[in-house]
Amino acid sequence: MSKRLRQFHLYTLSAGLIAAGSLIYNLVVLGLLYPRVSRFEPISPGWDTAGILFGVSILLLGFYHLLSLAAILAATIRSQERITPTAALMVLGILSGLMLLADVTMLQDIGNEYAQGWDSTGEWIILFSAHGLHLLYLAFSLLTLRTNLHKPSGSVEPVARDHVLFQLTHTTGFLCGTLGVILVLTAVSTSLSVHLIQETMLVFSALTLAPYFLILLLWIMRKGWAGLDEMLRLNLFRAGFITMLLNLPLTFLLFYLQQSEGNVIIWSLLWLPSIVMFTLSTFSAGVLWGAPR
Amino acid sequence: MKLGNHLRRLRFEHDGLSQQALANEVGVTRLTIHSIENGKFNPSTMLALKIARFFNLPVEEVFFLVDEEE
Repeated sequence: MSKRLRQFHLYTLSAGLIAAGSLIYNLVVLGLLYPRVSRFEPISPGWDTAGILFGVSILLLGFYHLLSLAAILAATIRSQERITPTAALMVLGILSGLMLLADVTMLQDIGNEYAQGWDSTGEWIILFSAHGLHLLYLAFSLLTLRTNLHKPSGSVEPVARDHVLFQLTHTTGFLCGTLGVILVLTAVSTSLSVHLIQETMLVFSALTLAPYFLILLLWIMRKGWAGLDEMLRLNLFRAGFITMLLNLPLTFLLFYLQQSEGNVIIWSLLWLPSIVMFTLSTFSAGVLWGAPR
Repeated sequence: MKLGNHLRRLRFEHDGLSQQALANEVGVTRLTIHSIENGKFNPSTMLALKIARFFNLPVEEVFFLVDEEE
């Protein structure tokens, strides 16, 4: 690892320790606030200060997310190792980072609903789940950063770096697409209400696709089409052809399901996320299959 | 009919040149060179000529046709 990257890792680890402290503070505040809010007990003015510190904490967590994702990505591109675990960590990190925005929104909703005397259980579930995600990402990212510090230094040619980013992009695509397919199947198999599916499917789909599109944007900005050699271009074309062949029967299946009695409304909501997620996972898998290490 | 090549031998004769180093010289990825050597990928005319020029050899001394019956 180069001296500059090593220094970046050390700064990021320091930010990680501060972020860990912030996360613990958040969990303590939420743990103390939840019983008071759920029982509609009076909230003393001192909680306003706690709320401001909660906001600062979210900012520190967000800052750490940005630093750590950049550090881990840079280390993987240079070392050309652990591409799949890095892709999984990037998906987790981007989802966790996006959920920081949800944390703020949920707290605002809880505040409004408390003032109105309404139940806010759903918002608390999302808030605690999001913090679970932050904790998971924090743990894995700190471990990865610490492991990266012990990697030997060595220079990596730009062509090799571009190829690692290409593989990372499509591994992320496969993970995001597969996660999306699992989400759709979960929505169908758990018999969620149509109203809930309508409210949440768009948000969950966007969250699931976000990591892939962010990394794809990074790849396009760095190299794009010019960064592909002839074998990788052939892989892309071949993967596209296979995806088209597999999508045709899926499209017919979704059409049949949509027309079936009792399924019309649910599949009219789910056909688009189904197609998008399946396309992404099969296309990315096809590209990776044609590009062995 | 397949395309054979002497890439591996030429790399070893060229001071043990690595696949990555050859890939850097001709502007492709290491796995493209690896795939060509193992017969899993046929290079384009331009890439074949670039590789031959790097080794300072005619392209027929780097790549050759193989009848599948052989």
